[in-house]
Amino acid sequence: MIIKICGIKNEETLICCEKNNVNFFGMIFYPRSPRNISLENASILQKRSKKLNIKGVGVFVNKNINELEEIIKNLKLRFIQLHGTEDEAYINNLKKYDVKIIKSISISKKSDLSVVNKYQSVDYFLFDYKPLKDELPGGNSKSFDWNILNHLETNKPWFLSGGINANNIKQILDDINPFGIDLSSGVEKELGIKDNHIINNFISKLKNA
Amino acid sequence: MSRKRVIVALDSDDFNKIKNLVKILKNDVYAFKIGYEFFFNFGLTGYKNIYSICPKIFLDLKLHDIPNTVKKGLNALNKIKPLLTTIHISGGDHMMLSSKSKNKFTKILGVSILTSLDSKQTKKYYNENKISLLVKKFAKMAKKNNLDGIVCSPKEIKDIRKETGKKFIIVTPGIRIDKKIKNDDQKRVMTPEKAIELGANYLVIGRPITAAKDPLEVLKSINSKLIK
Repeated sequence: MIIKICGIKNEETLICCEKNNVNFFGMIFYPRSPRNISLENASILQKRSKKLNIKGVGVFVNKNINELEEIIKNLKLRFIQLHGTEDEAYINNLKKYDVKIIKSISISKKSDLSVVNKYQSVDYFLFDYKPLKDELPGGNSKSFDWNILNHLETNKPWFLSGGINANNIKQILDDINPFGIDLSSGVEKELGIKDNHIINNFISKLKNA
Repeated sequence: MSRKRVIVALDSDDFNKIKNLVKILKNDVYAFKIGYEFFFNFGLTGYKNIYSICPKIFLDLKLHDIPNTVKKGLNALNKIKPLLTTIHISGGDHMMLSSKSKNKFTKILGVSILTSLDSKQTKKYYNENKISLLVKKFAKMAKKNNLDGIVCSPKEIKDIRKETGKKFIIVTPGIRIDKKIKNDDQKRVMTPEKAIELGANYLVIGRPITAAKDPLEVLKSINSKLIK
């Protein structure tokens, strides 16, 4: 199973993730998020990761497409995660940079799954808890009803996201066994602050699950 | 801030010509401007067609009505995701405040004083014959009422930048690239380099690019002068 940890802000956490065979680390470019990263810090992490066996994902929410293109070029990003209402034209426009696109889909009911048909050009989906009006687009430590995914019809690989932690990972493997998982708050000691012990503990739980 | 600064105006009633231009220029523009001529000839279908080729649109429809009407219009407009759109600052404080959307995809710019109005006209309709004073006042009000930026003529850029600070978006038309045009002939026009130097973020350029023999070459040459 592919593991992605989102909201990495420093090298120490990045190295801890790599040691634990985490496949992707997410860098969040969204000023409202407590996990927001500066371009300078993202550049440091991205450069460091080129020598490691872990890949950087740039995470964006309805980012101005011209600015996003600049960031892709600056950081030489190969993976982009879109957490807003970006549409197919927006995604197609990014394809010229040879990036893989992860499109997040917010889920609270069965009918929310139908939007997957709108996105022909994305490479991966990421299914997440549907935030309430005043919540962040992701990283709210909350899960949706995973049984909804029984109705999913797509050939594309997908990540499960939303409130994943050491306490529910066994159930996820047993019941859903997704292509990938995406964690954030589940490996934090406080809002926006990742903790290496919690990451180590999570991965060990995952291995023994 | 994007390094691309040029917004190409798609003012034409020839859809195929526009479509070809968009295909040729799409990787080198900040956005394409769609105004009345395009929109009322080709409508939403035309808009969506262009958007699917390049989702970078400045939808310049200059809304001006009572606050609730403008708000609802913008709610609908947000669904088609232009990067920029315009409302008239003279619509008043409430209209501007109610235009702010939760959807941050689209930045809202205020139209200050139409460049076609001379001082006699501004005296007649705004009771002020000093256009620069009027524009400065409008810019201040636009910022106070949370608009993202303003559209203004090149000669007002400097004052507005000073008045509104660094983050306010300034878009300016009236750009000419032909050096043969004499200054006294076109008092309200300016070169791209000068407009950026004075503090404009984006330049709206139409015919100098779209009517050129090689539009891409002209655009790239402008871009190369603007990227330092």
